[in-house]
Amino acid sequence: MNGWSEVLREVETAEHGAHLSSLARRAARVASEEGPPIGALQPRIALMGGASLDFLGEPLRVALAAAGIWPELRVAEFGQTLAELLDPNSATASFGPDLVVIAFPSADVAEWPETGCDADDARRKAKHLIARLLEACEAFRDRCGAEIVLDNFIPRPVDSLGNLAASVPSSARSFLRRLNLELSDSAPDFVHVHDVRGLVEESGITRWHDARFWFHAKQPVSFECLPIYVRSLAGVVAGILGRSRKLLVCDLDNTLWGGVIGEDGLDGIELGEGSGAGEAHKALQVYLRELRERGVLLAVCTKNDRAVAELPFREHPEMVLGLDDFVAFEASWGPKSEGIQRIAEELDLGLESIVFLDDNPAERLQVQSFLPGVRVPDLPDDVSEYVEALDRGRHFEAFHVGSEDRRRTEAYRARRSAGDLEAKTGDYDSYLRELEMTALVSPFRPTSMARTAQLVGKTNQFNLTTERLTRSQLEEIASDPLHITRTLHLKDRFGDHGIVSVLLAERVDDALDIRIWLMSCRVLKRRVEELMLDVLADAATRAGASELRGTYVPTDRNGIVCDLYAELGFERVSEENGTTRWRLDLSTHRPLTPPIATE
Amino acid sequence: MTATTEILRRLEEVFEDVLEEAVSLTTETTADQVEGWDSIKTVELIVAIERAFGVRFKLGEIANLENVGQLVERLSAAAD
Repeated sequence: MNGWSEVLREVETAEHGAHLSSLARRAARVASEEGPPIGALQPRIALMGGASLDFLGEPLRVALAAAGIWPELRVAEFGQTLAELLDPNSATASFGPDLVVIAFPSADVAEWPETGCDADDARRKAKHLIARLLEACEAFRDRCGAEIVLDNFIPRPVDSLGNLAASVPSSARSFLRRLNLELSDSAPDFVHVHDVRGLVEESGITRWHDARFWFHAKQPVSFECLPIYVRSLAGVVAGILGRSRKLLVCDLDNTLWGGVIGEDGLDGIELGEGSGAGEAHKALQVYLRELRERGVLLAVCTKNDRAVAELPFREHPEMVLGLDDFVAFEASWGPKSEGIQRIAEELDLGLESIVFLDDNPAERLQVQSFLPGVRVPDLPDDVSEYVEALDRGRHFEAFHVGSEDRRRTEAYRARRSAGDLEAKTGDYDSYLRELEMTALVSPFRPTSMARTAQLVGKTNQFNLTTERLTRSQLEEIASDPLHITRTLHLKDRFGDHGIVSVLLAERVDDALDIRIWLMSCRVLKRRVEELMLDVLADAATRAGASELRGTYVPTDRNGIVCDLYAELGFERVSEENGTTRWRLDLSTHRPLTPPIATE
Repeated sequence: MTATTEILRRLEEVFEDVLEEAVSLTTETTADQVEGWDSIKTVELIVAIERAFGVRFKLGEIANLENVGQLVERLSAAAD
């Protein structure tokens, strides 16, 4: 047993394609003995592209496994991208993928600008090429409903124009750059651009391109850089499927600053101007603040007395991060695994959504062995390399960054102070009234679709059926008259929570059958689910339905809603393998009217 | 143990990892005689051997790798 954990840990640090291929073979053996990694999603993924895919498929599969995904993978013949997408009878179309990966599309760019053409010609040509590629993506998505990951274009290793390549519009170098800009500007939501050019910039094209294997086998990335490519791609896929990480727990001493605050004191720790190491610690703080601004939650776990640990946050002039940037602050002398566990419980987050950052290898090992679900990146013993080591892991890939992400920390913090308030007030409903909640309930709308798809893809706990639909499937359902869809956006006196609940019900005879009902655990115990039921019952009655039906499908995460339908007054119709079915007679049902105002 | 036997032993480890079969190699072994050694596996073998022995093959060597004797000769030359 535990064949998986060893293989998957090695995947994260493998530095050579040969090592990754070897791990892929081991993974296949482990899978045949033990089955897929526990809890892994099993989507259908089609891989196609403009260069050889012979040596990408299996390494990609094992990199995905490390991200909690064990796909059914279909690899197309290379150079067939447009045909695979446009032909309704292509092998990829019949495969019916949930997700399509288009790797290295540059070989599908057959037309280059004429030598000496001007910038307008080159721009027109770039627009045309990108439009053709994106139209093919759209045609495929309209027919098959898949999300699409598209690599952007990488530079060529040589350019005969030499230095002029930078300024001549017809040069391959200029044109490939133009294609990428055009792609970023015009890719629709369902096309997720994978920034391979960025990876090449990090590694260098001379390392990335191995001419021997390019000439011998059209291999588009050197075996040395292959792990960088597939791990990054796996991160993007994980983000789309809702498997990216949400919370970074970090250590303080020798991580956020140099030295030990309890020993060196406020004047003794190294941070900011004055030393190179101080600058490097500050750069890490800047990076963490950027993560927090794009919606990643931050927490502290430190072996310190709380007052001492908080001192730099309160008094050190060079601190970038403030106490407000953290949703939890664990300062104690116990094992860090326990601190992290308390944070996870407090925030209702699974361990597999957590990354733990600590300079001390012993602490990392302790956390890794007690909490194998937590991702613990190895940090080099040089602080100047911390940010890169964290960044390279691609732990927090998001496929959508919106205002809700920026507000997430506020919302979690507000929820905690709401928790504090709960402790002081006796009567629960008067507590709820004090929250001054206002809800906006509406059918699925184009403007809320990205967040809706994110919730449908990610929510594990308050989720009755855990049916995962893609954004395109949801859009299709939104326009189907036989479905009733609702999102619920909640505000209270502590903050704006954004869309916190999604419901989707289908008309079946004279009943409405609830296919998806989920809610963010941020707003548990606020009677939000009762409001959602009132809204649905009302819509159902107006649509002439006489009953509501609901299903609870148990998973290892959604135990908190196993009794939801009973609590809401539904009667149980049947039970099979833990799955329960329920009905609610609308003629006798009375609204529950929770203390939430509606807009 | 001669240099050749030592190289063969290390090659067997690489082959076993890549081909997922125990193989017994001699300087006479050719690709045809080894189950699963096709053109795709040739690339994987080359890459794994480069990594294991710290060598770098030329394009011509990659394209024409068909027998173990050549390989041993190349690897012992690299070790000198």
